[in-house]
Amino acid sequence: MDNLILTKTKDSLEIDFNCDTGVFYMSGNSYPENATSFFVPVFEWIEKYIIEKAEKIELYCKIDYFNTSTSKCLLELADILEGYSKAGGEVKVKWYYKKGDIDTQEAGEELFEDYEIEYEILEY
Amino acid sequence: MENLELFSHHWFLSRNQIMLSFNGALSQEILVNLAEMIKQKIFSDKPTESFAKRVFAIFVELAQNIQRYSAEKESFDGKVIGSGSIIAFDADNRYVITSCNKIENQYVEEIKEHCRHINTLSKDELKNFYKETLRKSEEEGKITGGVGLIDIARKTSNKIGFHTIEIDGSYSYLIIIVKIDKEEGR
Repeated sequence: MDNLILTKTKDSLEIDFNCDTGVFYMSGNSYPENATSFFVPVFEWIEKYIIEKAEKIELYCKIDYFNTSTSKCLLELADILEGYSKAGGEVKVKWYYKKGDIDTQEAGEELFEDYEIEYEILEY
Repeated sequence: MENLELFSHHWFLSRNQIMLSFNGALSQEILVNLAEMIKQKIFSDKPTESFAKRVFAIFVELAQNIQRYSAEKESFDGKVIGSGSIIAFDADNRYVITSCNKIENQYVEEIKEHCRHINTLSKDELKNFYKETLRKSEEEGKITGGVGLIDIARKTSNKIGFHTIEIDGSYSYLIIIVKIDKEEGR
């Protein structure tokens, strides 16, 4: 399978998911007109990775701003990762927030606190 | 428009310290540009990144509510986009962002009840309500998925102002007013 590379735009994330290393980067802003349209192919790719590669996932998130529709999609992403983790897959999430950006720090906590996923909330 | 009308409009904008005023179809491209603009203006006025981002976030949610849910729609680039008004102004101690769009009368009570309810909640209750509602909102088209309004309420210590004005048997105007104190801290 190929890597998943999506170019950053003003309102949508840069996605750089490497299927050989299992290192997945998400960064930028996310408030596209239709968040679901953006994320569905991303989820499909991850699910394919889980089935075909079944290797570790190290997700790095450096999301500066995301709207409520994206929030919903991030929950679905967390569902997929938790499902994989519970099935024995190695999953690590690192959620980054800019120094002083309490909103993003809390958003990360809020997103992952209800999940059985190994995660860290880190300042940069 | 006559010169006097134009001057009067200009005077109104200036006197009310209007930072941004837009009326029309909120295409994504327009929305992105307006949002970036308001963020820049706020930041130059009060250079705290997290504060400017919070106002930006409120703007985006209000504008995307118009984009998605306005009963007045326009065809734009092969898409159907919601139309309405959004204004941001500087009210000395606070910034105010207000939106106005048409909604169908059948949704008036639901939306008003949603706003009333949100305004009664504490910070923690808002967090829980947000999480619950986010989980529940399966369809994008659900009018009072209303997660956007909950998110807005979490970003300001002021209650959300809301009014509806009936136009006719089918439609009303929905006006949402969000106030963000300049001294808003954490």
